[in-house]
Amino acid sequence: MISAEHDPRSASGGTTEERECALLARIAGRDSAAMKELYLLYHRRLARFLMRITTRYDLAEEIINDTFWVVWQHAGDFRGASRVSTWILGIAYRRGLKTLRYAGPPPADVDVEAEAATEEPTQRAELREWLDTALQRLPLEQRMVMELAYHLGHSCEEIAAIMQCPTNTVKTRMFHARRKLKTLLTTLAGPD
Amino acid sequence: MKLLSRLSALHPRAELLIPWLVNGSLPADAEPALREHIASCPQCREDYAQQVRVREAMRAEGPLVFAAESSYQKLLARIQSPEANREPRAAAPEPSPSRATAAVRRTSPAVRWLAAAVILQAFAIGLGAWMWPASRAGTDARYVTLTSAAPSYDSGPRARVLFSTSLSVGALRAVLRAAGAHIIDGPADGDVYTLGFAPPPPSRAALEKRIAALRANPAVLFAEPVQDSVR
Ligand SMILES: [Zn+2]
Repeated sequence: MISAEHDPRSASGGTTEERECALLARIAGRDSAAMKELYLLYHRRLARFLMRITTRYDLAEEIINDTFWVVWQHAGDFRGASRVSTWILGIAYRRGLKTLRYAGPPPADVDVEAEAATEEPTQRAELREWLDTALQRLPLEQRMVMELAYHLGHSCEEIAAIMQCPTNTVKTRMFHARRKLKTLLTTLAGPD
Repeated sequence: MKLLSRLSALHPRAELLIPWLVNGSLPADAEPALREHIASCPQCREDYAQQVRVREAMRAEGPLVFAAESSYQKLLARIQSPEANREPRAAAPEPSPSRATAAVRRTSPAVRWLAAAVILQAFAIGLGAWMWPASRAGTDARYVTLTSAAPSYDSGPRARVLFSTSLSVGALRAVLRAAGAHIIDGPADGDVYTLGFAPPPPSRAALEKRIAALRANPAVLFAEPVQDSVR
């Protein structure tokens, strides 16, 4: 569960992928227990990914459910041309952009309801907090590439499939994102 | 000299590939050359080390807590609604008509009952609201208002709400009254109703309070302001 959530590759490809494909097949057969299982497998990573787009949990939740609505409707159309996670993330990404266009620019503040302040004053938590702020300053596409690559562990080709752009574009977006983050990091981090 | 020029020639390419070495998705055949370059290039070495830290931080659990179970219940309500069964499957033919139709077309009597109850309720309270049937149902005709002095719901904030199928007519009335809300449209999109608020339109803060009150009711599965309507 943990490994599936954080590193789709760590379960040596086959296991996670086969399991998710099997779930999709059952969903195509209208098995709502399978639907729930897949939903719970993906909810957290989709929520995190989408919170980078909207910063509003109510919208993120709506997009997740729209995404799984599509999964429910079209599970039978999945042909295994990509990994299940790439397919689902691609749907979520497109739904996210669509919702964002409808909802207008995101407000600066994060929905309080989605926040439960459990601060751990470690260095890593500090860096993460800083990163959250810094990522919000990046253009949307750069932010998305960072999240897909570093949090979700997708390859360059998979990200290209999710975002429907050439792989070179993914590399360039990642490059610019890193350069901006680096500037901010050296400014804020100071001497170690 | 020779080494330096080789270094600088590889550097731009190496720079682009570092993130995928960091996240472990680089093709195996590209890895040795990249590692070799990183070992000999101080700039890439620093970049690599920093990206490892950034990735670690991004993978760490954030302070956000997501209620997956309650989100799933909302989706489930949508899946089990009659609307789900009317939804046309646009792409590709159904893989298996037997499984895709029989199970899905089974409508929930409770949801059907709720749809009927809500509309009846709206008339019983004498809202004077405009009632539209869900446009997806195919008709566009407006029902007439019940009173001539009907307040206009054409403007003012709106909210979208999904009620639990277990909600009784009496409880629904109480929910609406407590929120100062009226049903002005729906059900659509998975039995979501649109609520309007009696004039004068509530301020943003007042609206948020009313929506919070709606959410506090366990029979309300979902309540959100309609963004375009809130000013
Ligand atoms: Zn280099």
